[in-house]
Amino acid sequence: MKITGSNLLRILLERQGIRTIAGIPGGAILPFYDALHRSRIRHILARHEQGAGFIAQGMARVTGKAAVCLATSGPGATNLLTAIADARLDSVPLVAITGQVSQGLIGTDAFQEVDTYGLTLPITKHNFLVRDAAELLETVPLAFQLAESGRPGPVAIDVPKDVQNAMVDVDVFPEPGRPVPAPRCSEDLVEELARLLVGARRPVLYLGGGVITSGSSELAQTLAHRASAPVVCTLMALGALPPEDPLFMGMLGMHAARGTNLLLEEADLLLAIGARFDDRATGKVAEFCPQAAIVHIDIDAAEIGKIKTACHALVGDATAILSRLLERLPQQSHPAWRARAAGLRAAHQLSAPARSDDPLHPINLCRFLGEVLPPDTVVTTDVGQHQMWVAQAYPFRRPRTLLTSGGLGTMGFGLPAAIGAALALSDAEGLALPVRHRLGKGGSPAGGLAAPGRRVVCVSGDGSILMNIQELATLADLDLPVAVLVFNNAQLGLVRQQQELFYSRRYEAAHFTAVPDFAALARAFGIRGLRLDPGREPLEELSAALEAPGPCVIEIPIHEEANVYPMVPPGAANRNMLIEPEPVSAHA
Amino acid sequence: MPVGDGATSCMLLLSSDEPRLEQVERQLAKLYDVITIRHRPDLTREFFSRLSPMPV
Repeated sequence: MKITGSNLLRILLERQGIRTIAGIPGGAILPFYDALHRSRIRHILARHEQGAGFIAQGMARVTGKAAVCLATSGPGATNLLTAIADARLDSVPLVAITGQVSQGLIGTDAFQEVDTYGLTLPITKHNFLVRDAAELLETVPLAFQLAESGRPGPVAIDVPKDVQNAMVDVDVFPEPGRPVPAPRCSEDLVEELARLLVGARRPVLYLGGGVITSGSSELAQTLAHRASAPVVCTLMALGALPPEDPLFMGMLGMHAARGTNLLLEEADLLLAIGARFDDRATGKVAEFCPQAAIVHIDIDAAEIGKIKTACHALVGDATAILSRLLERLPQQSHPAWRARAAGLRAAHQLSAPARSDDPLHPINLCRFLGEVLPPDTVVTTDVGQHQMWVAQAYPFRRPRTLLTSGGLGTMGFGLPAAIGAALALSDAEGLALPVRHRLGKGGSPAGGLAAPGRRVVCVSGDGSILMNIQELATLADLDLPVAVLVFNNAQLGLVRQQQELFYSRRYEAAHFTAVPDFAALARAFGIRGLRLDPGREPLEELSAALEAPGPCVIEIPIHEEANVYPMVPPGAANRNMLIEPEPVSAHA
Repeated sequence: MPVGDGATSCMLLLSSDEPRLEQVERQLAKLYDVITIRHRPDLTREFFSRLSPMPV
């Protein structure tokens, strides 16, 4: 069978099980878009390639499966870079496909030519420049295999236009790419880990995003109770244990509850599972867990000893290792240690004014959301103060319900990631999925993707939301049940907070002079928009807005000077936490 | 430089013998297209000087 490279690429993606691709067309990728015209793959037309990248990330983070984003050459590719780098830092399986100028033009500074291969080299697990259409037979399955194997991550495929147009003879299609199982670590290593846990008197489990990725949350919870070990989580691991679990100590590090960081000071054994000792988690590394022997489980051998020397390390899949460990580990009992953890947790609760006095205090807002939203609600965040308030106060009870940009810390992540999450959930629930999304002649959705579905909530800030606000148009196209909550303090809040605390209140470039009317902005995009009024039962209004179907933007005025506390000064040891001096209770 | 039929190649890197080198090697080793990493302490600076017209 003779087909074009672009049709071959389309068929390989279909065989891979790809149902949805987010992207934006342009000259160098038009042959592939022409191939998509005959496909059952649904294309989501984003309004910026970074938005397309984060829509794909939203799908991938919810499902754990590699998702695809698509862009043309030049600016299309460079606009994707942030989303690709973000996926790299947070170990998200992503396949980014870009068009490239024809090979004869490569290196000539042709229109919309950029060295996509060179640009993506340091931010991907692997990248390809396809030189011949027949190479796609190997490249595409391999890209998915690499993206999903071991520690997941992004893979980029750059396809020159002449390769897309070239005819290729295909007799047999390759099997779709599938993740390769991680090597099994030795019995001796698991046995030694069990022995170390039996010998520990003050053990702590330190869970990272790898626990979510490997699907080992329940095993980690079982292990915590078997080992009688309190559990701390990184931002990426929130949801691994429900906050009601008596051993759950919340997030560690820069914005942890004080008791959580103090507990780590006393631990004699720290078992890190799928965690990478990020500086936001450890604070000053030399003083992190000063009394603890470090034991490290990770699927990525390069993480072992990268930041902190481990006395014992196991490289492999956390699910497999924890299963084997639980077969060997007898029940441990550390009543005094558990009581110490519970005491620290009780003594260092988050500080917030009474809800009746200040219902729109960010901590009260996050707690309220936790009460009114079902436990399986997917919550995305942007980056900044609101992100940390959500991490501190929203009760994540299930894995993959928090989607947030942890490693790269990308403002603008939240809205497109929420769109991607809602798409994945609607796919999973089989809701109202036409073969392809098309706009009618008047630009209105024809047979649109609108579905009741599970509510997805994006918590954002007035700084972050403007970074990808154009994706409200994509959301309006799709009519997905995404609610965007904009915590509006007319500031780059975390910048202002650091200038207040560490730069003697020399505020520079933190305050916005012009702040949009976000409710009106939403309506301009064709989306329901409202602004909560602190004086008019705002939480009831919030609850009603969340219950109403379809997308919405809810602007929430918060106090301009509300800070995220506790806070460890950057570079300081985690024991040196700044505590809120006095409650902030007024509104903007 | 190509090895055998050119399907694989060999790259020589002259690097400082710093503590972080071990981590650099681990990062390299996990790349899909890196087959193996070997130390070549037998290759001296003079060897690299002869490879390049530029002094190293």
